[in-house]
Amino acid sequence: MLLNFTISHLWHLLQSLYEGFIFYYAAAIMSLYVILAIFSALAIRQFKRRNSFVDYKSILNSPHAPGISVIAPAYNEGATIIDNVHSLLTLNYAKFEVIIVNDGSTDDTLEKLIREFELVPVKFDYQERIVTRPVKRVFRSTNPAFSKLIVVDKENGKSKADASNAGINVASYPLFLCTDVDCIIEKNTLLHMVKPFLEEEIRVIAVGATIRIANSCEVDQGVLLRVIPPKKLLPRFQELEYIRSFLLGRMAWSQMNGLIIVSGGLGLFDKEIVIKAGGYDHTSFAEDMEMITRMRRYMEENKLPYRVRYIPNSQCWTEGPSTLKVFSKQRTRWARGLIQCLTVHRRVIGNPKYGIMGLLTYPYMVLFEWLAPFLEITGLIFYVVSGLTGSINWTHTLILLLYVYSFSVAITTIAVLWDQLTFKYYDSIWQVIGLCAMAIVEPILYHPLNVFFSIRGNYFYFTGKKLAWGNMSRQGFARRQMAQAQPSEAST
Amino acid sequence: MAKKILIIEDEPVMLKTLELLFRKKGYEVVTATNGKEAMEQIRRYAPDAVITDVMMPYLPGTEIISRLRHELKNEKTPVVVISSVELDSLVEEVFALGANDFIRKPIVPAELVARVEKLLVS
Amino acid sequence: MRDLFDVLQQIIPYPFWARYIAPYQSWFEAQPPFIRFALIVIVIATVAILCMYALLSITRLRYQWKQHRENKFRQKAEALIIEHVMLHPDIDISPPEQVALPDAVFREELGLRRRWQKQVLIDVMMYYHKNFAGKTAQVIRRLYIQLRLDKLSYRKLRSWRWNKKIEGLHELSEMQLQVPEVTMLELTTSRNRVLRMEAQAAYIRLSKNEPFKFFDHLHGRLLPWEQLFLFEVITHTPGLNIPSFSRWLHYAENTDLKLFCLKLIVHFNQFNAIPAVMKLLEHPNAQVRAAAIDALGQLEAVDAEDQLVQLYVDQPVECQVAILRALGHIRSGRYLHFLKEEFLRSQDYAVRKEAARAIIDHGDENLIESLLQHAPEERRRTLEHCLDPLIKS
Repeated sequence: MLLNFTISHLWHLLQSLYEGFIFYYAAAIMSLYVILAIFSALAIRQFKRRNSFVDYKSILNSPHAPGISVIAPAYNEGATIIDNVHSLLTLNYAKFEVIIVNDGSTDDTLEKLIREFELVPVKFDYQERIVTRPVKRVFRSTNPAFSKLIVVDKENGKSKADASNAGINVASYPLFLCTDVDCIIEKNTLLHMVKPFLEEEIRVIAVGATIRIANSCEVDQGVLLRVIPPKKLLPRFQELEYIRSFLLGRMAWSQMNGLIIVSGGLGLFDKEIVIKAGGYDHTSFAEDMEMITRMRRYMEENKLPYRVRYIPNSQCWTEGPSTLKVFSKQRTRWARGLIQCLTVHRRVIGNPKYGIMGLLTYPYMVLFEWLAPFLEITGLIFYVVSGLTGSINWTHTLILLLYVYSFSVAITTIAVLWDQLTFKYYDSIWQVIGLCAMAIVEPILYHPLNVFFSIRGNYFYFTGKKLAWGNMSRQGFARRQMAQAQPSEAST
Repeated sequence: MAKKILIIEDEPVMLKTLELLFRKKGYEVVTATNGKEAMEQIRRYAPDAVITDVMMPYLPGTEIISRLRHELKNEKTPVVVISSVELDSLVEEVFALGANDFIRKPIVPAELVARVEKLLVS
Repeated sequence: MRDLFDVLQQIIPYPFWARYIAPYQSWFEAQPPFIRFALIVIVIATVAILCMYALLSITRLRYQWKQHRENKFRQKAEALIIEHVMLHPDIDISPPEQVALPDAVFREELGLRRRWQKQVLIDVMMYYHKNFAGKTAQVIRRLYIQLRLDKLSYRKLRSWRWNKKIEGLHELSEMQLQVPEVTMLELTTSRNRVLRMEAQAAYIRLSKNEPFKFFDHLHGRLLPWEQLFLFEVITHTPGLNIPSFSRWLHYAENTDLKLFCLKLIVHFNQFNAIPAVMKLLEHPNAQVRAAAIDALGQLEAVDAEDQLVQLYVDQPVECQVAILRALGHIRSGRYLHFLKEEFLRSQDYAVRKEAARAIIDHGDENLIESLLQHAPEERRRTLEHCLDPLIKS
């Protein structure tokens, strides 16, 4: 009797403590989101005003504009490689080269490239400034029409990072654009992305841009004809998520110079700094975030002022996973990459030596990106237990849920609204409203999936580390495997 | 019979202007707004001269010339390239591929017409 | 919390208030603070979502309507320009200032009473003026003035919004119209980077006497983007009086200006600037030295060769590479031996490669052949790399 009383008492105490904590945690996230939204609104507005009358022709035409190496690794891309390379070669820019790194494909990717682009091996003096798997041959075209193309044939390194590094070693220009062959890149991308490098007083070391989901867009031979929001549910949620995270999150972080994610699908980098920082880490599951962190650390440790910038234009359309299976792989990998990166760079967290990244970005990543799924799960368990023991205040629970829910719908709607007010990629208002409406079901249908896969990623990280390693690293080409849901185990 | 000119240019205003300019001079004009369309037009109409921009979707102007000269084995149809790019390397590349003339933007309409006419005569 | 309900009571019509809100007042006030806070957030978020949907629909519809209206107008304007300017029957025969202007047709067909109409027409004319040169451009300019469109541009120049000012400047300088030099000179020192750059470009285009006067009092940096932009303007403005840029190499302390002038000296082949450029070889900033060396190379300044080779040993890699490249450009042959030594000696790949290229530039087949046969393996590979005609870098 007495025991019973104490337990229920304790339970109540715990319950109110927990409710309080959740409440303040949610309030903190919300105020952060509001701050980020305001920052990014100001940044986008400023960006629009400064760039509304820019005539990019002076970059396009000038012999003094910096050259750019476009690096795209390819692994078993035989089906689409020709169209994709053609479309990379039509980018609007004067001084650029396209480097395709054939990462030991087991299909006819290389043969197709050789045939289509009249390639021959050249006596390339390969300098391994970043250590990679061996490069076998370097090809160039005998046809002057393809003088911009370089094809590197290397041994499979089981990761996009390793292939990108080989591309960096071959690159001859001071800047390089890292992308995937299956990304559809808008033709003025290089012009837009190079501008931040040229117009800042402080050295810019990397620039990112918005990526969106291409699943339902009209695409012909690698050329984007019409932008249409994804029709299937899962990619549609991703589109919404991308708009929100790019436009609200990254734009604001860029404004504060705290950006650490320049997506692997599209990023323009200062080659010198990348090489000094050691290039991509092929053991990382989040090589893009990991490398920016390392570049930033290099700059901070050498006391060099720098910026990592982000432009709000949508420059790249990519195929998002359309089945749950592939999606789960992608997200599990992302979660795993996050915790891995946070562990590797734990010295950065809260360290004033690393500036904004140490004081704001990393603590934010730990508290709100990494921790959030755990809190949500414990919260769920907590409420289930309370419900079972009958000690739940249903009104309060409902109100708290509604509080988080309505806020998240509002913030997503703001992001879509911003995108629409400033850029207008979709033709019709119904497409926009259709997308907006997804925000209403997103917290119920889509968000739980993300939470689950995050936990799964962490679980893999903490337990099955060694076991899952070889298995997981094959997903270096996350996007590729989305297209072929079942990667053949024997292929690598 | 009027000579046929193919104009390839992805900016619609520019294309329309050039099209009407040559029409008025008494040519038959066919147009294309990208590299893919351009190749179709070349095959279908066998133009007497080609005027092309460099940066375009599907295939850049350089590749159009290359395909015309090598794939279609057409050595004689004159090709005039118009571009605003200032790089010498581009000019070299274009001539190496077999273009007959290179005109920098901004274009002087009378000059463009005269150069195309000269190529058509010779 | 009582205040909140008081405020609500004031703004919400009474019947609504009495029916939907008042009954919950006591319930609301009985809740713990954090629940009350949550409730307020829920209400605000819901109202915000509804507002955003409304805003989205309204702006979108308005935008579509405007687009539609402007597109129709734009097409009409373009058709008129093609018909009455590009295909004007007189344009090939008479001098541009005597071509009869089709302004009456434009007024009649386009109306041009509303501001947006004028703006769209200006945009169209700007496009044509930029993309077509010669007589056509001059007729377009005359037409722009005749239609009084410059009035709108001048008005924008006086606007208090900086982006409007830029638009005005852009239009006036594209159309080569007079802007008081004082106005422009003042703007060339503006604290707003974008405005300053546009003003500088306009000044170069429009100033009658001294288009580069602002170089004299240029403070702060001249960023690469600004350099590209001004370079384009300087090299593409017809009839511009090009001064000797060596003037600013020593006169100004501005590093960026020095780098910029070096580019211009090379572009305009100002050989008489060579002595001034050579003085920069002693400059403390390595970037300036490297740029000066590059310029000397591109100007093929044979006289500078001795000094370049003398300097070589103490320089950072960046400048050493520049010196080797310059020797390759100058090609006097006097330092071929030096290049060969450097090619065989240097541990730095960039240096080795540049030396190889300079040797190849000299075109001494015998030397290349002997190096290919006798140089160590890694050196030979570098040389072969540079010799391969398909590798351009």
